[in-house]
Amino acid sequence: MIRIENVVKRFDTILALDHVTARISEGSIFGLVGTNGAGKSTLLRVVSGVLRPEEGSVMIDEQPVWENPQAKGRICFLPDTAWFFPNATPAAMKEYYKILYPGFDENRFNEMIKKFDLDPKRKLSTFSKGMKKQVSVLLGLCANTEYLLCDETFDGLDPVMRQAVKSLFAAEIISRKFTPIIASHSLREIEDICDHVGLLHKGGILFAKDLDEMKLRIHKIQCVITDAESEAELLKELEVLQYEKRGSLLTIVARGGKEAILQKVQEKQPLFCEILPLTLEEIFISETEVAGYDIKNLVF
Amino acid sequence: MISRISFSKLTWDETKKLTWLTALQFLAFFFLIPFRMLLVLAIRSSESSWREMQTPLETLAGQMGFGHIENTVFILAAGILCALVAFSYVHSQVRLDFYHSLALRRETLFAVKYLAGFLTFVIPYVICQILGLAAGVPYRAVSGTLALEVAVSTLQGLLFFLASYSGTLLAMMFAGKTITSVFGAAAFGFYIPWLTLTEMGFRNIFFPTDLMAQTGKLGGVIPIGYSSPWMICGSMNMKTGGSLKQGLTGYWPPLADLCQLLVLIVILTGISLLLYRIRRTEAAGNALAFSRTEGAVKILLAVPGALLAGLAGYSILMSDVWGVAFVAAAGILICMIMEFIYRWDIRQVLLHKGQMCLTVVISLCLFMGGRYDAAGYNTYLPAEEEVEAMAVCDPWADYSYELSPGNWVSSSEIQAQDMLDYLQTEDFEPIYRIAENGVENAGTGMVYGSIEEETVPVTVKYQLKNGQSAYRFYYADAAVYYENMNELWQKEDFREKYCPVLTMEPSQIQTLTCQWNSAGSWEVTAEKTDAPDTKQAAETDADAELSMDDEAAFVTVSQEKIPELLEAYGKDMSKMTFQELFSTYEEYTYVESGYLIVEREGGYSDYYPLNFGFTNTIEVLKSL
Repeated sequence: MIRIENVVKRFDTILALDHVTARISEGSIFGLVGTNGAGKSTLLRVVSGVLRPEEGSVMIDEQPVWENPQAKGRICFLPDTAWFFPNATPAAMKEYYKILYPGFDENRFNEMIKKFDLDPKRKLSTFSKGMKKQVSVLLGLCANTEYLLCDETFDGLDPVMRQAVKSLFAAEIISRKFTPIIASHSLREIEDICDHVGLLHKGGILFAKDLDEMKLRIHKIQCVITDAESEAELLKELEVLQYEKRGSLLTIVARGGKEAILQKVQEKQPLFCEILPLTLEEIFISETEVAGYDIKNLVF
Repeated sequence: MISRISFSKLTWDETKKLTWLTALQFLAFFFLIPFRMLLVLAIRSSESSWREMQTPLETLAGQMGFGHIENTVFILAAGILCALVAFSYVHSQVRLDFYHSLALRRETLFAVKYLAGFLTFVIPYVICQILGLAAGVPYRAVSGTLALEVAVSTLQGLLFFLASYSGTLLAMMFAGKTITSVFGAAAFGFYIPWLTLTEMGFRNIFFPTDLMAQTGKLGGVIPIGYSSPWMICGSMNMKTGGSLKQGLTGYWPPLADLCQLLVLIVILTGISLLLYRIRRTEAAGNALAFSRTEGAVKILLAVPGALLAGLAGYSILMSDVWGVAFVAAAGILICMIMEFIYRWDIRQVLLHKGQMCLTVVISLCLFMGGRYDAAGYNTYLPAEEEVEAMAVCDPWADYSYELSPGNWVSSSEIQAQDMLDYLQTEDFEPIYRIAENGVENAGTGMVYGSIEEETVPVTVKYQLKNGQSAYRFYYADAAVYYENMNELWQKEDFREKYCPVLTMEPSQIQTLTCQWNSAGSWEVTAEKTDAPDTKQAAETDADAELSMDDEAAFVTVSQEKIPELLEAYGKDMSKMTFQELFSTYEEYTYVESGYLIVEREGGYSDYYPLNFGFTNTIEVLKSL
């Protein structure tokens, strides 16, 4: 388990992480989502031991990460911009990673490089951005570490590759003790693959929950209530995250159990009432609007 | 249990990544060492007189031995380059993200990179040294001892490299960008000399009574030769000495020098490691890794620069206004340049106006404080009751002195302070009066003395009862000076200190020779002039004829006769006044007749005064 306790990180006067606390259990796929500048990359760099927090601590299996080779040996960090040494080829990077990660699976790497149709002897400087990402992911996977921190890993991959990488992650989880942590602003990707999601906003963690559990706790309901007073009462009774009225059709996103919300709506004798499925994107927008990040204000 | 990363494998892999750097250094040292050896030996072997004038062994030794400035320059440059390349990753955010996420402590990573950079130098350098030696084999120009000397020379070269390497490394750890590292290394290398230059200029211009400045000895807390790793290596390189005996340069670097250099390397590397451990990863890309030091660094660099500019302006234009203007302008300009180096944005050069103002204010305070002697340095005169002892020295104390038993040092090599320490006396009242006069002259702004103004440049020491001492340089009025020196001269212990020949043993004297300036006899035909204060003297040689056989122009005294001659000489000195003996003003002295030349071991000669007044001495000379 990775335990992040009250982590604060500043860059001069900028507060990048503001008392972030989270638990990442083994064997799950953790998605770290957030607005631009929320602190996703910073958090991953703190967890991987690259940055030292001003306050708080990060523990991996009860061992502090900072300057601890034992703990850091359990992690492989794939930053947004991967670094390869000059004139390197995938084969050369493989040799280098074999030294850096003693558990590196060379055979598996060779096999996957072939499957991904990448030339191991071609210079990485001639690869496209997506191809470099592929090599980076394969190197990270074959490092055989317990935790793989991926910063915007799927960004730059084509849909076929994205699916292929997701399959690889799924296979890894089944075959060994493996916990990927994926930071992304692409909620669709997170929704497809992740079990747990953490939402960062302006350096603070808004929530870190099981995805299914999160979907159970927020619902979108469409209804038509003829009586204006009843409608107002309903909006007060429910824990409304967001609502919109078009004509007589009221659309509410509210926090709570499905049955409880339905019951309250039914009490107002609506002409029409229906629970609609929420995407992670809608949950994300709703939660961040509550936190003051109103996306409507950014749309012209 | 997580498997550890293999240190040796990682180091070797990092070294292999720097193959281009190894190749570059191999190329440079190949042409510098073995290629040059072959060339020199081939050219010399074609000279017909070569083997008569110099053996092949001596030729090779001269080329492969110590003190070759070009080798040292290349080695120091290699140190800078290797540090910049091996540790360039600390200035790249992307690379730091990679390296610092690895299962390595920072100390381990530092060691890996340090070793890798070192190996890129040591491999080609050692190979080229061996090849250089091997180039002499066909010419039979190699011996076991030469090989040993070359080995020691190689070791010294390695230490020079590490000194330059660790000095540059320190700059890199302090900076956040490679370009700032280069500036930082240059600042590190030249800051102390720059500071020393400013300090000496300050003293020279504003403190005419400052002993070190006026006696032309470079001061500064840290001598320039020890002010940076590069300066130290250069100073060590200059100590060539020796001669080509038996095919060796004859120079072996003192073990103490090598040990000191090693200690310096360890210290610099240790500080670099410490900075690396506390350095923030996110500092990569900033001008300085420790941004809170930006202001302090700026002020530390700008203030001496502003002062130097102000001193230059003042000394050229001799105007306070121009001096102040130069200080202010230079202070502002340097701050703007520093700000540009920090930000690389011309629009932000006036970002920290507070620091700029502080720089100018500090510089102006120092400048004006020196200009108007705010501390009262030039007019310092302790109360007589506070003084325990004093010393005075003048340009005529131009002999060799035994500063410590068996340690004779010529006046040209003695530091002014050491000379004053040697001449110190508790009968200081005459010296105090000289000092009073000197302080009075300093207070009137007298900077340059001249014969027309009848002043004498003197150095003075005050040894106070509280244990402190002070040293000064004055221009004393000649009349005051000689009056008091005449009084001091009456004391035998002062005479003996001032003229060491009076107490020298014959065994300490290699030869004692008397020289007359004009050929003539020992008979003194001229009248002794009146007492010095009547200022009458023979004006031409014709008035002081001294006939002597030509072969008697130089008279060497035998060892047996030296004690007798010196005793007579001492008597003659005691009956004459200081002014009669040492004043250069014609109206004060006899016509200069000759010298008593004392040559001691090592070939050093001292010239003591000799004139018609030395009647006892002349009698002894006649008897020879």
